[in-house]
Amino acid sequence: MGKKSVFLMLIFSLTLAISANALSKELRVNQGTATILFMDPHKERSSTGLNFLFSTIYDSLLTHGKNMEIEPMLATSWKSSEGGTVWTFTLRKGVRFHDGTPFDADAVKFNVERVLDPQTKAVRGTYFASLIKSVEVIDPYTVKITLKFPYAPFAPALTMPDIAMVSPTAAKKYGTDFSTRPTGTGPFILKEWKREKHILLERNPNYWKGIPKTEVIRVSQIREESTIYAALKSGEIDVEIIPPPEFLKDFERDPNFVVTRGGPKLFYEYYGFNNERPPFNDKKVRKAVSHAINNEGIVKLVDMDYGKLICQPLGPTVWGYDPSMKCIEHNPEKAKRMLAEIGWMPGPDGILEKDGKKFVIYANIIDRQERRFEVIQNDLKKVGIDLRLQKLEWGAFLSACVKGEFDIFNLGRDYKSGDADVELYGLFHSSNIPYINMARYRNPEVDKLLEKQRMETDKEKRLKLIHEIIHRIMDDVPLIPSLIRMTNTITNKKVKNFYIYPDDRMDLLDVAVD
Amino acid sequence: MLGYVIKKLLLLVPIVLCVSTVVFFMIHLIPGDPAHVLAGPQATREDIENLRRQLGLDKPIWVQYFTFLKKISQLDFGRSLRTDEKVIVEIWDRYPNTLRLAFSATLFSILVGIPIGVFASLKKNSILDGLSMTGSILGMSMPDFWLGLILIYIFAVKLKWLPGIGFDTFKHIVLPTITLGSFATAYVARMTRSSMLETLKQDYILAAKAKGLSLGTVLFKHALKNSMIPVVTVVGLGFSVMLAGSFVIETVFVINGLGWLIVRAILMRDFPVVQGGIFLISCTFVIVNILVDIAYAYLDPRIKFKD
Repeated sequence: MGKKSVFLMLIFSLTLAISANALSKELRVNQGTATILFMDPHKERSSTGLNFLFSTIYDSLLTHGKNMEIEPMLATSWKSSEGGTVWTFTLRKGVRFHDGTPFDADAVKFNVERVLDPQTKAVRGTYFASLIKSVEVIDPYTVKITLKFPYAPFAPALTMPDIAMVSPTAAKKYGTDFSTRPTGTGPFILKEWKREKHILLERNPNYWKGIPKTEVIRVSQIREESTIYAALKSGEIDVEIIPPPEFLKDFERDPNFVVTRGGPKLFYEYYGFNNERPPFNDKKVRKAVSHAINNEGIVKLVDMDYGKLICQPLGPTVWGYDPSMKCIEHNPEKAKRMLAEIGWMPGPDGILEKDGKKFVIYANIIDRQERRFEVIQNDLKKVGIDLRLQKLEWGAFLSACVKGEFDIFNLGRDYKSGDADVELYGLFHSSNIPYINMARYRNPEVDKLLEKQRMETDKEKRLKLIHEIIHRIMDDVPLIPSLIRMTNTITNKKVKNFYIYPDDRMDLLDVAVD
Repeated sequence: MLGYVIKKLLLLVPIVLCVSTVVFFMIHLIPGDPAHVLAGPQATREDIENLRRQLGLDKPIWVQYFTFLKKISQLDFGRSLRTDEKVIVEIWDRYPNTLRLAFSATLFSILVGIPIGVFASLKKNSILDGLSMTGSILGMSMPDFWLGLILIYIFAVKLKWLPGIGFDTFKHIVLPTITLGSFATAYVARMTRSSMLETLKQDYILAAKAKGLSLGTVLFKHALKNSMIPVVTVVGLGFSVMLAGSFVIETVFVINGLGWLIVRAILMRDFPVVQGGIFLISCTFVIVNILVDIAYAYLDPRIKFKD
């Protein structure tokens, strides 16, 4: 090869390298915690997957603002009538789906009916089918939804990405393949999807809210924490949206990164008792053990920056949250006294005994819960309770919990409506035993209050009902609320204006990469 | 030989059928309700029951088994319970990556392990021999997960010479190949050394040296080929193990491969994907064994295939 050819090749390579950099206005986000299974918001099961879809490809009729207030999105206004059974929505004009189909009342009707149709197998299909009686097109930009009963939190329900708007044309054309050909009204359009590898999106130049500043978003799906660390440090990704708490201090010390310690998310975690079998079928035992566990200490020392302590089964950004609710006091002496009052006395080995039986309980735990439960084991040992840990794989864990083969477990909840109804009804109504209500909590009075609050259309009265429910539940202590997860992110310093809402939706309109 | 190969290929059918049957019943015996695992902990009883019906999981196990047999006789592995994608598409998206990774790691083990083994056998009991065998012990002892992360840290984070994630270009292949191939390289080096030492003791080698043949000729024309039978066995086995056990490397380097697909399918009780993946790995295993047998015949013409 002659010298001239070598020189030309060098120039060519250099040009390629420079032009690649000049062309790359790409934001690289990692989202490894859950794999997206369906690019169809009606079918996608993972919460993280829905967050992603809702931030990029799809919009809903309504959404949340930065303080979780309900805001217009594809619907510009809404009102309820006839005692809360009829909801009328005025739709935004001039919006089109990515394939050019106009967004109008027919599209809304199609989407709602699609979610309700059992053939769709929509994840929230049964939930919405329990609420919605019919959908009617009044005119091209007005749609009326009639409910089966007055459901007060219907507007928050429509903020959920599970009922986001998909293009009727594309859904009909592609059928079951629609989930690989997503077509919404969102700020980004799918360009390429390599399952579990990356997702490539390009901006929607006709987005109704304005043109996004970033041209391309590349979403990688790195699961392994050490690899995420390396990818951030080497510059292969720009943003990690759910960083492990151990990373935060390290990246705060690195001037090339910005760590944003945001506010609380909707996702909270709790320790559930088995309310149906001894010893935790006794409220006094549950209360005593709640005093024995140093929840605040666990959140601070074990969970570190992962979350903040909560005192009720609702996050502070959820409508219905009661700011007056106090946390269960950590008081081992009080725990011992309470247990002694009901006959639990220390045996020769220090473990409590009653009627010849030792106080031995079992916790079902899964991966990454060991440290928390080791601390709980220690706390309970101090009051004379022998806690044994049963580490299980996820499927076996769910099965054991449903069968009631446990005394304590630890799980989390994350519903996107931002309203107390879905949170409380799911977890505490007896009709949901033993699935969502795995703690098997049964209180007929609470059941009645839960049913009553969802039909109460007066906001103040409803709020009072919800607060009463929370107080009654926390008096029964069927579970111990543990922590609310925080919105922490790590971004490369060249990324500007990256923001995550409390409902985990990313605001990608103004984000830019220098 | 052709007859031998055809006979072995025909044996594929009962072997794969047995493996598939065993796997079918094993995964159905794992505790856990697949419908609940797939629906998630926030699903209601009604959601779970609906999903169970939709996926055919409400049918008795014998009905499910015969449905499965009928389908695989037509090479139809059905759809993933999790993604509703055709199993064949899910697997075919990932299998080439796993194959490429296993192949490059095997090639690495041959190109690096054999020369080290040969060198060590020629310098027996020297410092260089000691160093190379210590290196091979390290290669066999280091967890591949740890090695992969160390290599990413050095070459991707600190030196920025190579990318740490992905598998698209030649540069991407380097670190995963070294990581996955390190154990096999160490093993091949040790096997080559011990096999070469045995061969170099043989009378015909002494005769070759006595005839005045050069070291190169003695080594490459006479000794090496005759030492390769145990090495080929180890390489063949190693390739199959890499195919099945690559999911750790796939996780560390974010490679969309078959290993992680199968592991996750087991965790999520996605039975059709497990069946399809194991079916493919079984077939590959049998084919690799056939290739190893053919290699034996090439290396040692005394080995004949009986029809």
